[in-house]
Amino acid sequence: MSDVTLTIDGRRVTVPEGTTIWDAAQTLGIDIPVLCHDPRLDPVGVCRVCAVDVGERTLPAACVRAVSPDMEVRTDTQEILAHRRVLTELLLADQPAVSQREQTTGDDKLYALAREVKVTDIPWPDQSERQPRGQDASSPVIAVDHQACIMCDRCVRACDDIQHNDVITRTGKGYSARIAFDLDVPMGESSCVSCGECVAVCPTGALTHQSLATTDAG
Amino acid sequence: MRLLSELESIQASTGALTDEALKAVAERRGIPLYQLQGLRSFYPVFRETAGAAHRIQICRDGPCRLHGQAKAKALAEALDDDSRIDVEYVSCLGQCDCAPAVAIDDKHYGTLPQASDIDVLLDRPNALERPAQPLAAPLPTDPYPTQTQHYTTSREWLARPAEQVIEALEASGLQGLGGAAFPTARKWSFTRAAEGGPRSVICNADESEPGTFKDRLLLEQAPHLIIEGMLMGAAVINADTGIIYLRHEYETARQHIETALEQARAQGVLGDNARGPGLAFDIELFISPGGYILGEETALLEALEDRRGEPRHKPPFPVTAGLHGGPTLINNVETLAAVTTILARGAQWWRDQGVGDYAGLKYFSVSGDVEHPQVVCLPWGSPVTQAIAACGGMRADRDLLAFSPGGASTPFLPASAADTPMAFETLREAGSGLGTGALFVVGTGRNLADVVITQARFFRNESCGKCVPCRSGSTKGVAMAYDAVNKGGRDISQPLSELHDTLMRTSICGLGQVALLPIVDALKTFPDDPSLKALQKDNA
Amino acid sequence: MKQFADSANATFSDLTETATLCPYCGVGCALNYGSDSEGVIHYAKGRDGASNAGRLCVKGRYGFDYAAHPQRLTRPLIRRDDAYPRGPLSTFSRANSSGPRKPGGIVDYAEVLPHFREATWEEALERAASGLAKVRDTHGAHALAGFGSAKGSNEEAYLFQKFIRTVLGTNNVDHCTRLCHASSVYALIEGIGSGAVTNVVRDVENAEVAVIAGCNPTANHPVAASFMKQAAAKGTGLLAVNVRRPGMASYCEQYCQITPGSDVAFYNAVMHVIIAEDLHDQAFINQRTEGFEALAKAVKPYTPEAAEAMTGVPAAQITAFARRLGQAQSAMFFWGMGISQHVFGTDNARCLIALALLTGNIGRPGTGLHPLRGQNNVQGASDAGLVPMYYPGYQAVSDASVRERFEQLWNVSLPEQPGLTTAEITHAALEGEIRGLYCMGENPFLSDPDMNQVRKALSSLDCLVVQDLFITETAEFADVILPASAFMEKRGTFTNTDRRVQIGRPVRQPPGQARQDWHILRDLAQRLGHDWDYADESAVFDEFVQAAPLYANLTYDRLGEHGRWYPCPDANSEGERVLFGDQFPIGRGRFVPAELGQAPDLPDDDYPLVLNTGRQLEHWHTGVMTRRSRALDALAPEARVEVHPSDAKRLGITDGSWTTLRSRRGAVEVQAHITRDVALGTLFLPMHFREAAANLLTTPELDPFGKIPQFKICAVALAPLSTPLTPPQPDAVSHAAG
Repeated sequence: MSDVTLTIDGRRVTVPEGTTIWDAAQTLGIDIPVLCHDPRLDPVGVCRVCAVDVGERTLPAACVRAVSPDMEVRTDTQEILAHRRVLTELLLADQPAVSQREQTTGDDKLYALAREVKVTDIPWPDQSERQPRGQDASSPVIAVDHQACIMCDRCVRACDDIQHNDVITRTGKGYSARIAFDLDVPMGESSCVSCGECVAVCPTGALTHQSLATTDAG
Repeated sequence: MRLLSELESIQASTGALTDEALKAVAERRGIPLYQLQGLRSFYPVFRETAGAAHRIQICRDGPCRLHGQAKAKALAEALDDDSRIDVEYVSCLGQCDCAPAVAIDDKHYGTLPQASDIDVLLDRPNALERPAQPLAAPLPTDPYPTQTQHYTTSREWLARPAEQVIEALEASGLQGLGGAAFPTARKWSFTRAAEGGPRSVICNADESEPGTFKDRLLLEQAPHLIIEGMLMGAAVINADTGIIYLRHEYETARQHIETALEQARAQGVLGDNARGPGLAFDIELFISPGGYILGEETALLEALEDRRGEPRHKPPFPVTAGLHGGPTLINNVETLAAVTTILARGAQWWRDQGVGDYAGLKYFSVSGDVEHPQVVCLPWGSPVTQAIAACGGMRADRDLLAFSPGGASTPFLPASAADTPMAFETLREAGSGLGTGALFVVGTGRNLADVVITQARFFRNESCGKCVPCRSGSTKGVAMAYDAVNKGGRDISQPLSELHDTLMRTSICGLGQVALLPIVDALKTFPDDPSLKALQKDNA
Repeated sequence: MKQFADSANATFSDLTETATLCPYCGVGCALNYGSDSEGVIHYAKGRDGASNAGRLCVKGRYGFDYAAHPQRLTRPLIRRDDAYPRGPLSTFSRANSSGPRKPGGIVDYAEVLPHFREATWEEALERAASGLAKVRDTHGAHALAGFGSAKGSNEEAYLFQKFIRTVLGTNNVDHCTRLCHASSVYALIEGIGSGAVTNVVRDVENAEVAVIAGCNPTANHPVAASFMKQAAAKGTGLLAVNVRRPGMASYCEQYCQITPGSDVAFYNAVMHVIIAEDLHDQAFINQRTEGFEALAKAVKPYTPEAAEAMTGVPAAQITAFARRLGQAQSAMFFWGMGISQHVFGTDNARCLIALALLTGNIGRPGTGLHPLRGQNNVQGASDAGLVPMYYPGYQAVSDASVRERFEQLWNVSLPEQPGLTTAEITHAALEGEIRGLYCMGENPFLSDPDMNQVRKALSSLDCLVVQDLFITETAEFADVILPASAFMEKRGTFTNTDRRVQIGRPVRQPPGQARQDWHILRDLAQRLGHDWDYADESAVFDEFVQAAPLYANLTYDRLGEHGRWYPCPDANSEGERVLFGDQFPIGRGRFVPAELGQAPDLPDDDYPLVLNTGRQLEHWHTGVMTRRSRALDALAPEARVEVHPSDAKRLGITDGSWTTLRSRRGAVEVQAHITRDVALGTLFLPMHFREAAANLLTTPELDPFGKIPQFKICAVALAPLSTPLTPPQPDAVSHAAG
């Protein structure tokens, strides 16, 4: 296992072979924005928000791409900022009006990204009326709103690779793909054991805790 | 047995993958239910319930839409109340020579029938009309006049060092004919040098792009050339496993391949000593459960590993880390057939076949507004006009308006470019590409906007959904285009171009990268086309 | 064109997050509660604790709202004069009651409360203190006993046992480990000299194989189970042995379904094969153990074929198991109630310990003995001396020099005689020898075996003081009920199954006039003439550390937010993850051979089936907390008895149908759930639901060493409910305020 030296935004860094660009950037204090990536999970590179310029025909996702010797990475060119904004807008276009995540735990990561890239207008059509994605209120503890889902695969990895409860999958294909439980049954009827890991990792209002706050008898 | 093959078998014998059937599979294999749901819902071959006794699938893409949009609609309406039949629109069936094409019961393919012919066809579906295909065995690139000489080339070349095979391919100038145009000799050399295992040779027989049906011809008429090409590949990269990944719509090809494999095994060409004493090689025929994306090489590998066909990130490339993580040689049907031809006839013979400095013979699938859509075999470097002429010229008194030379991912060029020699570099310089050599011809009077939006719509329909730019961008881009056509009011050329840039640069695979290109490029290339002008009308 | 409308929640920003722990199982997950200014908890978020790495399960994630339930005790209660002689007050608790068929049945306050009156703390404490003192002065200190809580903090446990020993003057103090791992702890102290785990749960990632014996971690230690499954996914071979199919069976390389009570035969046969095929670690045996010859001789008759007849597991499977274990470089042993809760539980544990010693699988990463501790502080409670035979730190009461040291530390003379254990206390009460009981955070009426006997025992007491959050079935018998603090209302240290000592922090105030448990203990002690004066919990902890060298070098400062393992060799160490690399506390480990025993209550023609009792994921023990959690109650509102499909068919029972389940001691009515998880001829009933109380059916016999009851086997009969069933009236527990 040898070390690799590369340059990120003009700064040199040396990291072990196999390190991802995202992790290497972290060591420099460069926090490349992400949505589908979380250090607890194996990276999947599907949201493309962390895409960086390494001088290739396309922009690789920093969270999955391993560094290579003398690689020159740029994380903050005008082009990259433009794509980051378009990707954020694409995801916001279909979001419900209110973020259930902001309401319950105050940590909607898509909203945080929107604030960071300063989204105002969303020039892409809202698909939510033509192809509504539906809700699932069958679980007593977890609220499912497919409309808010950005198919980041975090819940799938949390359920299958962290808790190994093996309930959640991506179902369908293309734009109509969403998540499903077991053989696509309502969550409350599935083998879900309500560990809540999916809610914990979900970056949007797709999976949130049903409100459990009760007031005191006094 | 492969999980996907087991699922295909259940689907074929019972008509569906019901929840009960999947629960039994899950229990027997000790796998979670979600895994089966992921597969059942991703691949178009699988259904949750059996549906009507018969199924008619109508192609909705490029050439078929051109020739039969109205007829298809009429047939679908006529059969709407017919409880015996489920009618659905599907993506390109690879039968563009039959345009407008249909499939009956997943087994019979031909031209869209009249509603009045349906009763007869349900009884005798192989009466479905198909045009005659001029090219038949032995094909122009087949070095063997009769079956008795099949595989004689490999018998000679297996005795030679692998480096000589690579040298011959290098000298021939052969490049990948599945669209990527990667120099074949170099790919074989890299894969040979890659370390570790398991080691596999895969023939990508999943051609699915609208207008592409040349591999179908080769698979039906000359499967032995492909088998022999794979055997040589196996010898060069030291692989014992071969897989032909075949799209399920190619039913006729499947039968011919199965027969050819049996014969090859009987002759000892495949088996325990195929590559030499104790050096085994055999080929599995795997039928894809469907979807254009499976032609993307890493999505294909995902399917072979019993997962949803969603492309992987590259690097690493299959050459070093492919099937089950080992070095994998993946080549297109035509490329593998050409390998056999080149080794049989010699690199120089191959070079001599092309026009001028171009090398070799190329199979072009020609469709659209030509008199007789078909596969033609022409020397490399032949101009587009020659391909059109070989198909009987333009159809129905139309002149040439535009053509897409290499499949749905290659932009349309105007009639003024029709003299361009058909080769990789020339068509790229002209602003398009050779791709697979699928020539889609559009005549004057056609709604060009509809044609290019349909191309983009194909990509949207076939998006696997894994990454944001493609999944979301292709849908919204196509929606914007339709809105502009149907409702108007906004010049979408700038936003569409911006969206296309993001797709082009950030999508994981080629599908997303080219999804909006047909529209965006046409807006630039055909500035005076009235149908395209509608997308640029700003009524603000 | 759509605009981005930021919907940051203004009220949300009022929530604070507090770093604390989960109140439930022994995994001891670290978490943050998000609460508002009124102390209402809105959510739980996993925190990166040493034992859980940010993970939680359903109970930790959603089961926090019981603390704010409207039925929380807020004022001291004193039994009304006309409520004597004492006895059960609710329909359910009475003998021979028809038993409610309604779901959601926790104690009906409307039935029970009228028999008590509210009192001031002054009056209640006086009543309690004088009541206990009167028993002591009339009948002697040994007529008194205390049940402490495994759910309270180390500080509370330490003070409780100190109270019973120094203020009341008896060693009759115990807690529910008696019902749980008492046999395991006995065997461990006997075998290697230490009752705690040798390797932490997450060490399973380093194990080539892991034996999962008599436990169902996905239900009872879900986060621990996630690490086991993760290890399995990466190549660790899980070898499960259980009467009932464990939830993680699909991750197991092998699952051996043994017949009830045959564990000794199984493990002896495994040892037989390991020795016969020379797979034992002779070097380790020579250097680190004693008694091998006797063990080898004892397991000789237990051939795989002989064991097949005794266990129902095919000989080839036993042999494969033994080889896999014997050939592995590293093996870890997890076990639970399926091993410990038998009259031969100690023998069962002895077998597992012997297996580890035999194969040299102790003292290295990826090896070791890990009895999965059930409650969040059962380890700490034992460590703090909440047991009749040990002072804090497992120092024997019967050892004169030890006692002298404690007499000096506590400045009081101490009783010499080791005390009685939980079930012994119940028996002694029936004999009239125990006449007063102080019960803190325990519910023996539901948790102890043979409920009818327990009812009689509690009824016979002269004085019963109960300190708890809610009125429990046990509290129905009390003279005085003292309202106490819930987990999220107190500050204290808690020791989990990994030996990790972590600090739990309060998020809210106890409601009404409810008080901190340790303040109540202090006040009672002062009333009885003992000058207890602690500045805060940290000071109590410091005294505990002084008393128990096991906890040396730990202080609140050093524990901080992350905690440490004990033993902690010095101020800067994080503590020891893996123990006994060189030698055991007793020097050499001891092989203690075991012979196959027989359960006391075996099937016959009248009671032909074997009943297994245990836990399920959503609930906790006697349901006092979890059935008052809106989420947990919604997820699992009712009991089900698990029945094999063939048994069900034969008996005319269908999924969900009502049945009568009878043992020689009592009967319950409960709906059936058909599943292949239970073996033919066996049933499974969870212990959490009082309306289908498992302990109405269980037998009271005890393991002679660990004194733990035979919860896992009794003979029962199952039949469809004969009388026509009127539709059950759902007696939904009101979760609304007021």
